[in-house]
Amino acid sequence: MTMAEQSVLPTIRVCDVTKTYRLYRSPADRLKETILRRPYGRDVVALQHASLSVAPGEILGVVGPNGAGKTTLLKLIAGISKPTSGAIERHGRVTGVLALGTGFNLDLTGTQNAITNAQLLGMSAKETQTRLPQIIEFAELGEFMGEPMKSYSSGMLMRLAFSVAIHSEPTCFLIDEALAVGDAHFQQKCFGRIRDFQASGGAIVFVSHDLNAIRRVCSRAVLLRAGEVLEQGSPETVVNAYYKLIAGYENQSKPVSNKSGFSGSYGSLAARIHSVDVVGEHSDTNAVSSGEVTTVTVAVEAQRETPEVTIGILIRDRFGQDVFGTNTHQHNLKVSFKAGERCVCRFRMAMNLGPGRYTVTAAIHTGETHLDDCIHWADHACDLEVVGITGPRFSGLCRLSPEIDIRPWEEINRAAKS
Amino acid sequence: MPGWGRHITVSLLCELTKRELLERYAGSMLGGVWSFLRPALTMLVFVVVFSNIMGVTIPGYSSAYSYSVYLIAGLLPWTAFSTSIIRATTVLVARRDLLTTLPLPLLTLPAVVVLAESVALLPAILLFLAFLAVTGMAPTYSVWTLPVVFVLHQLFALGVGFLLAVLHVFLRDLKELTDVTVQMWFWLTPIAYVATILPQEVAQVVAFNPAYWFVRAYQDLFVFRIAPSTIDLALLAAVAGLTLGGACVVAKVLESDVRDLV
Repeated sequence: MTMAEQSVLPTIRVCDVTKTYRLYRSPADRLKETILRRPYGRDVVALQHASLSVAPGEILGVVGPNGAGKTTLLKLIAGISKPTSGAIERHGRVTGVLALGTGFNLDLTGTQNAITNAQLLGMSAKETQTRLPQIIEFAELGEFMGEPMKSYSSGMLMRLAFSVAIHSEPTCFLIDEALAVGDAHFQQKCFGRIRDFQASGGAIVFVSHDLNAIRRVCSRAVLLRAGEVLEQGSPETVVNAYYKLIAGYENQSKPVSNKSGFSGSYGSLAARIHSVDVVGEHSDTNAVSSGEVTTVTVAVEAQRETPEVTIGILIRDRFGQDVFGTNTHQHNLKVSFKAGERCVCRFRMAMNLGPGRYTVTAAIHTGETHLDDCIHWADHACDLEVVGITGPRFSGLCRLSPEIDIRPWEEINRAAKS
Repeated sequence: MPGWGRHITVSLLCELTKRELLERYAGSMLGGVWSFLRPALTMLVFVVVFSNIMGVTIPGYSSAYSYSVYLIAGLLPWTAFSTSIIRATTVLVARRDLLTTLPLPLLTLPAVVVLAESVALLPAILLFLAFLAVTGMAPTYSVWTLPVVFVLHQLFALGVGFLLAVLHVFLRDLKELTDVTVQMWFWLTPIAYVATILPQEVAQVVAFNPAYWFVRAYQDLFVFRIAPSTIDLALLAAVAGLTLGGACVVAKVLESDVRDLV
């Protein structure tokens, strides 16, 4: 096979694969079934008519609720489990998290375990010998390599496991979010290494519940539900589809009924906050991408006549830090209610926050802050999640949208002189 | 199914076997010395008890050590054979960590068990040959057939062990059953006794015991110093080949379920 052909061929191709597990009351029933030719078990479909492919240099994200068949898919791709029907083609060596540290024996030394593990992953004895120094160097275990593994911390163990796996020159690497390898420094190193692997034409299948990560790193994604490929395409579309899916589930399980039933709710209640909603312009849910125009809607119901009130919202991060707050008073908007009046106050803004989970608190009070006269304070009335980033990436808590230009020093000096 | 599973590679088999043997004595002070020490002590006990104390001999064979030699000739390979089978039976379930994370061919694990047991027997065989040489009973040129017989014998063990290992995934009782059956099999094989003491009817049954065909070949080699005939060897090869082939067919049929149920 020439290089050109190789780059065109997908590394993994899953063609119309169905996997059914037959469940038996006892494993012996499986033998009875073969011998007596009568059914003794029942079928559970884990994956049905799934088709997908992963090209070299591509990161395919796999998302879906629990029991959607994500692990089954990984196992089928890894060749650990056999499809009931359909075919799986793979070019080259597939390895990854499922096999991290497989067969480690704590009584043997790090070096001995690395050698065995490498060969289990498909390396030849010769390859193992030549790559062992790199494996040891990457794992940063130094002197410890000669020690029995029982003296290792779990972080050290994972470091060695990952190092062997990534050095086994796979063509496809399977990752799931369990890839929490060692400390932050080593994690960065791992991700750097995975990126190099991708850049050099390696294919990656990445299973995760962390939709930020899916958006950030994947080139394509699939959404699985109950064994079916529900959506396939850009991470953006797939993640949004997933959010809709979850939203649908959540509506079923707990109908919206937070009529002033907020967890931390207090005040004189001359007027009440009826409900608080967060909706992104594109996502249509409370999970929005950074920079997306988002509307926070506060529905208010006045019990008595309340002149000159302020309606406000407060966004807090997961540590409870106030990130941003605003209210009608600060915007010089006059609000007053007659008894029984209902109204909806909408705050429209570009959600220029860093990815993460936030809460939205809403309040009705008089004056600029709720400290003077609090009418209704609804703590954590709603969740907000910022998922991924549209536009240029950034780090940190807020998106300051800088304009950047680069010029020679001389120009700046000249400008200063004149 | 194209691309499903991998082929067994010699290098992986060697590595896993080495590892298996390493693990056996890992952490013990004498380490690998035990692989010589243990059989040496066992053989010493036999020689002292049967030849020096009890003075048992084999009819038609003059040496004082005849019974000891006869017993060891059958017992050494039998130990490797039976231990291979017993350990192979449970290996797929015991090493489910490997099967559920790697596309490892099923045969690999039982093969490693059998290989390790075979290698573990070598020190004992060498000691035994040395003992025979010292006591002037060294086998003649016929000794060249010893490796052939031994390899076929262990392939037979692999066939039986592999078949049981696959079935054990579905039928966990097989562990106990195998233990007991192998013990009975031992007494149905003339190892500790000579075949001629058997009553006619039992002897007829024992004649169809394939394990005995192998054991007889060793006894012929070590005690009577005759090489097995080509026909005998062909028979042994057929037994080993058919058993292993049969086991592979069964494994092929059940493989997918083995991986999901293990």
